[in-house]
Amino acid sequence: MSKKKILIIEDDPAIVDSIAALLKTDYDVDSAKNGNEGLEKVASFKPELIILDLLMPEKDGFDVCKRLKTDEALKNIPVIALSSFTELYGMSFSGEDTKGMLPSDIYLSKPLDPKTLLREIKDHIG
Amino acid sequence: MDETHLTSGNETADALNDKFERVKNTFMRTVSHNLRSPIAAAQSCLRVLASGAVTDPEDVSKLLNNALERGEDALALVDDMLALLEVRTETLPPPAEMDLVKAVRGASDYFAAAARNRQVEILVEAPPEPVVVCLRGKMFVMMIRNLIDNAVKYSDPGNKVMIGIAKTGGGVEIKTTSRGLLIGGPDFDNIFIEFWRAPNAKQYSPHGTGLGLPIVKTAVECFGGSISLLSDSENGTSFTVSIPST
Repeated sequence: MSKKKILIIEDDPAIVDSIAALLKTDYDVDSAKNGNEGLEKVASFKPELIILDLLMPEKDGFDVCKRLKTDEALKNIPVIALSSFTELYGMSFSGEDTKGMLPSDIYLSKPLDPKTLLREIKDHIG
Repeated sequence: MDETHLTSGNETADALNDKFERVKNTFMRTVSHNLRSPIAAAQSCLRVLASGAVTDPEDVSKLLNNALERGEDALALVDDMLALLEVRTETLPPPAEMDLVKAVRGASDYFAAAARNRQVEILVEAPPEPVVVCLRGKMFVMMIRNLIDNAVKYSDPGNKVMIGIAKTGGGVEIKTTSRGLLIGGPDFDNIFIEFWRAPNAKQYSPHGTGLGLPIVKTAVECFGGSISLLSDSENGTSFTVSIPST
């Protein structure tokens, strides 16, 4: 059985390396270092889940997420948004509490908590 | 960035206090975010390692090195903030006569290893005799080190970083030239703003605090001098610092 695909869109190589090292045994992992490259890889790599940094140069994570969630073909791909915005910790952007910010599925704060990240991925794609 | 600009005029004390609070809060927010990013990245690497989920020796080594590097980034930011504070508050030793040729050659030697790593050669063109000026020596060293550091970091491999020292009618001119990162016209006004980095700077160096050029500018102003920038594909990127002899 082939591994599920996860795309990491993140401009900090240290974060990419840590997530990739954590996931590579159980998942097929690819990465993109900005929003534009990320959207290209969504089309070519066809991930089943996306881990998305919110603050990036060029197209940021907010724009990428809005683009994904307004595209009929892509809107059901689960997105885990990452950032250092501590005040947003644990906020879900999928319901009434979006505050007009992000229709993402889950938000996690940096630094990464490996257990939480693995649990969220398992809950979404197994 | 309007919010961060203090202006003088007939503003009331309350309005000035409000503006000061906004500037202070913006600064604290920026510093916190810039400091939090490398610390959070280092912590992420260490947390993944500590979880025991990563056993491949190559991955372990990579994550440890990443954690070390990002820790150094945080330290560099704190060091640069302290340096900026030092030059701004002029707490450095008072002006004294110093030989700029010797100081520039010393700063060049300081970056020799970094230049070799980047496959860049640093060349100093200076008069054979000492060029003596009365300056705050430590401030000058901070200034020239930041200029050379930038020139090396943002050079394309295989190129030369040229540092020229020349006496002029009214003082001394120091010019650093590198070939690599170009700074676009619209960005000329931004490069001396604290924490600002050119959009394409990360492609050359993921590590940078955005405080190097503000330190340079503050030092140049303290010397009563001026700094200019030229950046185009034909000539590369040059910073020219003019320092009056008196």
